[in-house]
Amino acid sequence: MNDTLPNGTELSPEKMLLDHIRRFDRTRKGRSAVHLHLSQLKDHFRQPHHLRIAQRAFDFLINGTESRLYPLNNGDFVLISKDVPVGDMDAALSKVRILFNGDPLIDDDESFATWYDMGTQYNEFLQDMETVVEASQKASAKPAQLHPSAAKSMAGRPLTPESLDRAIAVLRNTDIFDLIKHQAAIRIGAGGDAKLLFREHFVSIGALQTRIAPGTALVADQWLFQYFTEELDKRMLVAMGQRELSGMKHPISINLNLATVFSREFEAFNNAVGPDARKIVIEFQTRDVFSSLSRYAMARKLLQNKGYKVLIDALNPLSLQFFDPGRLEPDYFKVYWGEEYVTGASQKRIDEMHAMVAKLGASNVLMARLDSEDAIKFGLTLGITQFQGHFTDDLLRAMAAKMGRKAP
Amino acid sequence: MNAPPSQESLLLDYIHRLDKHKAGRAAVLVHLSRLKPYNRREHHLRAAASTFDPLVKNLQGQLFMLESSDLMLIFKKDAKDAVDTAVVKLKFMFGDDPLLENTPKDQDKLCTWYNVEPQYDQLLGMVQEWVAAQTDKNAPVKAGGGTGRNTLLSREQSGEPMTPRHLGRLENALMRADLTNMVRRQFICSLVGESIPQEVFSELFIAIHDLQQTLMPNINLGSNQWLFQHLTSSLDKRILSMLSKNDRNMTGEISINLNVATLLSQDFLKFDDQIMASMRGSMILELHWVDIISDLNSFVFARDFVKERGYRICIDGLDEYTLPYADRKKMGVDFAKIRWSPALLNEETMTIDELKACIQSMGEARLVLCHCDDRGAIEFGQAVGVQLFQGRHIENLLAEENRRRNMRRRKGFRR
Repeated sequence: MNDTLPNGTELSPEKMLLDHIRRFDRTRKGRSAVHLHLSQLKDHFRQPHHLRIAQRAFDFLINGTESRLYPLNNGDFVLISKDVPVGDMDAALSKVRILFNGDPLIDDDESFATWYDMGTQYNEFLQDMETVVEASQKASAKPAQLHPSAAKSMAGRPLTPESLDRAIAVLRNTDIFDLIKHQAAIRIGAGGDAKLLFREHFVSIGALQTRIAPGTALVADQWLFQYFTEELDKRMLVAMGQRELSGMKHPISINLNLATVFSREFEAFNNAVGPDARKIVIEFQTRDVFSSLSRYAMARKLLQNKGYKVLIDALNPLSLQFFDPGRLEPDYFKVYWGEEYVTGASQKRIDEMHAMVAKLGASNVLMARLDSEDAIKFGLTLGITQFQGHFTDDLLRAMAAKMGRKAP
Repeated sequence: MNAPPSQESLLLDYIHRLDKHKAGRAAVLVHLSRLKPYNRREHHLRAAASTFDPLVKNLQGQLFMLESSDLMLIFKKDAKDAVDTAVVKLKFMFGDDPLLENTPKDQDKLCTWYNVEPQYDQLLGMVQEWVAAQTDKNAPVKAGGGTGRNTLLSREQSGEPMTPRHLGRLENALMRADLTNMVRRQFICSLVGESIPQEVFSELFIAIHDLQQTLMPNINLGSNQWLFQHLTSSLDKRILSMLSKNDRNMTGEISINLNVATLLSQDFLKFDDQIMASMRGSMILELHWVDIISDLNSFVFARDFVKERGYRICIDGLDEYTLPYADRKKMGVDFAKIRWSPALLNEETMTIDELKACIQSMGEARLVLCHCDDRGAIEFGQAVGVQLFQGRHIENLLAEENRRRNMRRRKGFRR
């Protein structure tokens, strides 16, 4: 809602807000204001489209009453109204709450919004807003701070069909062997000791982007990226084939698309692996699995018959609320850790999680993307014993050192 | 890479090996090739073959899908009852085909039965002939390299698979193309027994087949799910701008197909601004199951936003596999659509009782059976408790009803 001056420069909402407050210095009666602290939402809710849509919740006030909304640079909203009943303002706020349901911010009235009555709190409001505006201007136009790795691969022009075509052509002639990273998944024993379950092998998309398509954000479009991964799978299998696959010492996992399982590249990989297939876990994305369950059923049977283990990747607390993945009958379910497990989770939700883990079979569940060892503690309370995160390799090493042997 | 061995040669190999174990075996040749072409599409054949899956799984029989579309099942005689049951199911599946419809009950034109031990040489001779015929036919194609006839054939039938480059060209062309004549409307009707279909809402969509024919005649736009999904988001923009410019089509309750990401875009906000507030209440937004499942966080946000604005939501793209996962109430949507296919009869994915239970928990008046192209689909739907239908057969019924009404009106006028 930036206004434009005759000379073409835009007035920021921050400046307009302060102007507005100063203008009604003498006509404070009947005015009230609410400051919504949306800048405190979790990252995934603080995307520009979320905030744009949240503004719509105030439409009926802006069109029907004397109200103005100032969406600030940092994500916060400030609403100033005249002669509007509190109930109506509440109605707008609860619309915003529904949208951000699941974020801990909305559960706490005080941290969600601050109310001001201009009759008595004008000076306080002005002062607060001066502080807020200063902070907001510093926040620049970037609403959400992404994970460093995600931010790296998101940077650049979004992928288009044309740039996807070019990226794939380059990928086909690129050796990606050195871009393969790995991360340990561990199992915690009854005595608290950690053992290697398998080591996930994956290509770092950020590094791949720098090598084959600098300046293009490969993950910016979910569908084109998914298509890209079908090509990437094949390169990955070829690269893995360069490693000594037979006589593999430790179990590994790789991420594949269902379509790849039926490709020539997989056939060659399978031949190279031989009886060591039983040491390999194949990870599938839920998106891919649910886009063709019949193909999944075929791939699962084919793989399990050859000795491979099958893992359903990228489940999260929300997906577990929506559907029961039990019927998929994989060997493992990988559930992503989310802060929502602990912050703001009601006892009912935790009980539901308990029941879900019991239903899937605790020994089939692997909790991944852990950010701290506290997450492991929480997982253990749910009965989960298998974990993966950026620190699991260190944990294994530390355990091994304590036992006086080399880490696997 | 060499072409995989044909089913005929595998069958021949199998019969050779059977030489020492012929006793107690029987065979049935299912003449799917005698069905009308419209009953012989890829999905029909797959569904027919899967009728025998339980037998094959229990190692009671071996199934071969022949190039002619016929099926050959060789089975242990103690599984005869199970084979009979499967054949009954097949006959039900193709009950509307003239082959079965016009044949007296005592004649079996669909199946030929063999007793392997006494008829071994006859069977062997027959299969040998098939293999020989196939070798002759394939020779010139094989000489040309390529993995063979099937690839060529499927290309002829549906076009080359779409690549990112095709998609780019198509999306560029879309920006200039006039799509108004490709917009189709189909009614979703409630249909009880033999009564006249009652319109509940109508779906407006861009006919992909026409789009393909006009802009990319030799390319199969649906060959890759992900590229197709990307294409649909480009179409979203077009349909939104068409509808906001011209609400001639916007009469009654209507539904349109959109992506979740579109609901969160500026294009949708603009559309939402431009249409009359009262329109929102009569619009149903159809979101595809795969799109929903791909980003549940965005779906939940978009769902709460559009519902608050007054729109209703329908999950589209369910099939017999995904239906058990999609809990309409848990997902907080108003309608769900499942695609009719003969595979719904195949109880291996879901028994009829499970299907009925799913439909009941969805709410009978909330589940649409779509792609109902023939009477059989409707009868099946009604038998399992579906009340809402969509598809070519419904369109035909509506057209017929219109004709009748016009006729009555004309007669009245003459009098």
